[in-house]
Amino acid sequence: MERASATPAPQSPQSPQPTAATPAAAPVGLRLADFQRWFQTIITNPDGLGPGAAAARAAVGRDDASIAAVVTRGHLDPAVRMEVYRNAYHLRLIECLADDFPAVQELLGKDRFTRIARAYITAFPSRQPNLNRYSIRFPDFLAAESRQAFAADLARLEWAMIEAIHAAPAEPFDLAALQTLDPDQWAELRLRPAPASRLLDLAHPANAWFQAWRAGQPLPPARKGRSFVLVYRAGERLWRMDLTPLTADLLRRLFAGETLGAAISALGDAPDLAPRVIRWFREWVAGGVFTR
Amino acid sequence: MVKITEITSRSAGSPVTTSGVDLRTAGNRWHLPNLGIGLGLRTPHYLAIQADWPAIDWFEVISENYMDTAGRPLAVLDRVAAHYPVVLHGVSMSIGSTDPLNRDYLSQLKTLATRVRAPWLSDHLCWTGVAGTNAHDLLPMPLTEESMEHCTTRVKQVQDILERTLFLENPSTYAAFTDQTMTEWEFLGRLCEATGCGLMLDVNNIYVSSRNHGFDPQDYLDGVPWDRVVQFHVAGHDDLGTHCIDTHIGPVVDPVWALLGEAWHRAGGASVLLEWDAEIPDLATTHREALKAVEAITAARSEAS
Repeated sequence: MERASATPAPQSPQSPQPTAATPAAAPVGLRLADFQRWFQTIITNPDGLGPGAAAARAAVGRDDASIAAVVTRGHLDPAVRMEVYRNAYHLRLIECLADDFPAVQELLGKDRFTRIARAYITAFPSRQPNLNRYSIRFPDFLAAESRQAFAADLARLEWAMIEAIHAAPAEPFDLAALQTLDPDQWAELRLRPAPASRLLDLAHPANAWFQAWRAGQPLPPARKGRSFVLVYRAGERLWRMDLTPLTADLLRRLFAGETLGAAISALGDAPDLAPRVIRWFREWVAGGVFTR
Repeated sequence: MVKITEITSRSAGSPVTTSGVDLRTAGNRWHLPNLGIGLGLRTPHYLAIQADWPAIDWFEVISENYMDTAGRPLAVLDRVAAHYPVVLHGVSMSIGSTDPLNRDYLSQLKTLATRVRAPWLSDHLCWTGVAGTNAHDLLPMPLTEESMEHCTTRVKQVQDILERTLFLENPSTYAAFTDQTMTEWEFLGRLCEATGCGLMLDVNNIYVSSRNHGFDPQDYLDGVPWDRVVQFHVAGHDDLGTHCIDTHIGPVVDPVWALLGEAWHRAGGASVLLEWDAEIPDLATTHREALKAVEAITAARSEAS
């Protein structure tokens, strides 16, 4: 998702436990590197300021580095001040995941989504200057850690769409180029997927669910059932195309670098295969699914 | 230096003069232009902007949103930069962190600045993480001599790498530290002197921090080296009574507009930018909010005279 320089506001006005009101003695005198480890340990702690502060004291080996001793009180309790940062750290990353996976959030409900997001944030702190790829492991996390198999496939679809948005543009392979080839050359042709093209082989009909959600229609049950989806970008517009097992197999072979001839022969000899292949193929080429 | 003439000419989005105030004067020592009244470029406005390239003076973009992408965001940015001046505003330089500078990040930033012909670029007086983690937040510096020495070294390094002057923004802060030996305005003033860097002054952040720490915004303004201010930020915030949160949501409150008016004249004029980052209204509403800066600047002039 995109970054901004704003601070998320607390969603529920919960007050942290106040710090002891004893006036701070002499400044603690943490070196800058220790101070930063101390501060980050507190704000990234998922369990609250108390556990965070204990972990922070241990991290810098200073029993006297309490929040009350390090943070200036002024008119506000130091715990309230630190909680603004702790809250903002978690909320911003939760917002990032919610922004990247709106359909998953709809499927799971906000509370369950947020619980899983918090666990993801603790498991995978960001290590990049931007958040464009922060969510990349969320689909697998949903599957492995949370046993949310349908949500994981929905997340794979949503992530494929994000990757397609960020992929480099490429000169599409066009039909005109195809028409200059004679039939022998057709069979030897190898096509490369455009950088934005993604072929998904899923254990659930995630795209049907996504489509219903996007269109505001009644949501289908989140049941099992293998499905194949092609995500691609034509110009700056994203498309999702449900594929039959046969078309998915053809496309998988072409993306893997098989020649057109080999990929088509591997489909067997279903009736009317040739005209159908030509129809699919024209649609993919027109959508910029392949590049030169 | 960017040539503003390279940009497609349009009728200006904000008036050039009003009530005897020349809204395009610029008082900074680098003679960087006053671009007028601009907006932060945000995704919900992409379509409206590209539909008819409305008369908006300039845009600021969050640099990181156009890194590690080769697709649509960059294509939109290129088109916007062909129509308007674009300034880069970063959130991950982490100038105050004790982690090593991220050379790869700085190299991407330099490339991006060249790509959009940015007349300047800014980041914040803050750190965003240590031990390889990025907290994606503008975390407060303890305002100590050690921090001053550390930031001085780092700003110089960054300016050498970028081959540009760095402009630092005062962040909203919610905590100050018992080790602190100076105010933020003293810290920024000394840092500018020591490194030659400039300031991007966020008057909403001055207001928010003044409420959170109990200082007088006038004391802050009295401490700013005005000839180093190239740009202002204004934004909305959440007022919780006891303290304020810099949410960048909603209209700018009157005390912040008043601070802008005064600061603008003290700087001898500088570019103004509205940040509105969540619950973003349509482009016209956002732009109308930004253009309230013209009234604030005019009103401050008549109060001063």
